[in-house]
Amino acid sequence: MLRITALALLLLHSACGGSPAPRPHPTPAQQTAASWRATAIFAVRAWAAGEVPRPFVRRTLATAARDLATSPAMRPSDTLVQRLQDAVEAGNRGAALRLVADLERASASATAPPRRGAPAGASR
Amino acid sequence: MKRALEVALGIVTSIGGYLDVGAIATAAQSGALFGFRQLWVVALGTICAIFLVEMAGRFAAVSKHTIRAAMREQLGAGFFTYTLGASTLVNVLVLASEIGGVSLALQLVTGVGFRWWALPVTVLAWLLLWKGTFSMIENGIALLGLVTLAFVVAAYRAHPPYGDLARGFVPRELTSAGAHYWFVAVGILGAIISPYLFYFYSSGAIEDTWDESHIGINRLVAGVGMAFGSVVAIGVLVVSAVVFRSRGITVDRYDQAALALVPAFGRWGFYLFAASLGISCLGAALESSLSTAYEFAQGFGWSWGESVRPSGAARFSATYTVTLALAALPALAGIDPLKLTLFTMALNALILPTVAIPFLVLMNQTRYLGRHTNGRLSNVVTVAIIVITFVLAAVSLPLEIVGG
Repeated sequence: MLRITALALLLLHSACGGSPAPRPHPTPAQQTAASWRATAIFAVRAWAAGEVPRPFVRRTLATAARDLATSPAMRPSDTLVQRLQDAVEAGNRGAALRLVADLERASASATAPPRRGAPAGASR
Repeated sequence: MKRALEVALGIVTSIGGYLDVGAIATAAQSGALFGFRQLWVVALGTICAIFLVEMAGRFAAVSKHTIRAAMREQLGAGFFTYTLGASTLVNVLVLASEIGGVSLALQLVTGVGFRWWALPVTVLAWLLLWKGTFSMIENGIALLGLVTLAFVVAAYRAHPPYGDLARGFVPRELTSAGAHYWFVAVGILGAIISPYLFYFYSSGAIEDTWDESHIGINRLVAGVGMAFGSVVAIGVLVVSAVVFRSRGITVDRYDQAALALVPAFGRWGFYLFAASLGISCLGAALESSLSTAYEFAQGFGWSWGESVRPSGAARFSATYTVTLALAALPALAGIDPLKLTLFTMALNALILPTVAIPFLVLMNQTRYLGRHTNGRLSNVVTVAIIVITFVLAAVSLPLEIVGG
């Protein structure tokens, strides 16, 4: 009886252990930083589609880069926002869209839940 | 026929004049942060505003007194002076936010920084007040303000989940919501129940020479006009929820809010947002400047009237001139207009009891209103509004510190 109970507990433990760990609630700084990254992506996409004027995007990216640079939630990939500024300045829509895709990938991988078995915080 | 036109114009101008910088800022931030969960706050604020606006108009139409002048007569010089000081401070900050809003709209269109626009915008507002008439300000700017209906069209085009939207009108999670939820809620109420609105409306009724025959028009304009106007604020909130919340954008600056209409209208969306922000803020700037001048002039017994030549109402004209000059300073100093707006809306909430209590006293005076004093329903609602304003006043400062 004891062995059956132990086996059941082991099965239960392994079943529960496989479920993804709950994602920690983002801090206000993380939320603001994520918001600026998303704004940069949105604004540059709209500019590339000819929907917003270049001075607006330039100013928005400058604000985003400044706020991200001083944020405690800054990531190495946030330098992409500065490179986006250069691409917009040069009027290079193709380069800007490629950088947006990179920034999107970096943001997605940073917010993705940790993979099964991977230690917490392993995902970049 | 003339009356029908008057009603239509009143309703249309209520819709066009509903939005101001505070309503846009708080609704946009609410949608981005909390989705549809604060729609009930917009509805509650609108109900309060409808009753207060109706009472302000009825009082002026029947008694030929404005609310401010009667406050001085009935509640004494001490109460009047204290409330005038508080109201002037908040009015100047509201005006500063509106000037910031128009300047930002111009920044969006031209790319030139908003601080550079603060002075030209202030001069433009002053010129409109100096040269213009009351009906030009009341009807002209508010008719242009119909551009804000773009938010309603955008909300419809965004195909929001209507079930969730309807659930937003029912207050839930009241005890579990955090400080920031309540800070934004207080801001929404502070933006909708703006003290300057009631003083402006009752002064406008006198300027338009309303009498007892206008009571029906007043009721329609206050009820239908404000209710339809709130649909615009709801449009802003819904668009913000659909466009920004889904992307994780929290709208910390107007740069972000400017993208709200782009998914619905493409290139036009950007300029429609700038036009909505600029026109609604310019209209509100004129109203809040005039409101301050009305309050001073009516309280101190000066000659007043927007349709009177400035030389005929010198102290009245000087008051809005000084108010405008003071209000230009924050934008000139480069203070972020969105942060200033959110701070001011919470401060608005702090002085609301001093606005609401006189309504209960004045609206039951047969000396002023004869047989048109408040009925039981109006009094019950007024008491409820006073309770709400006291709660808002009590929590606004702590929330400013904890949740702002």
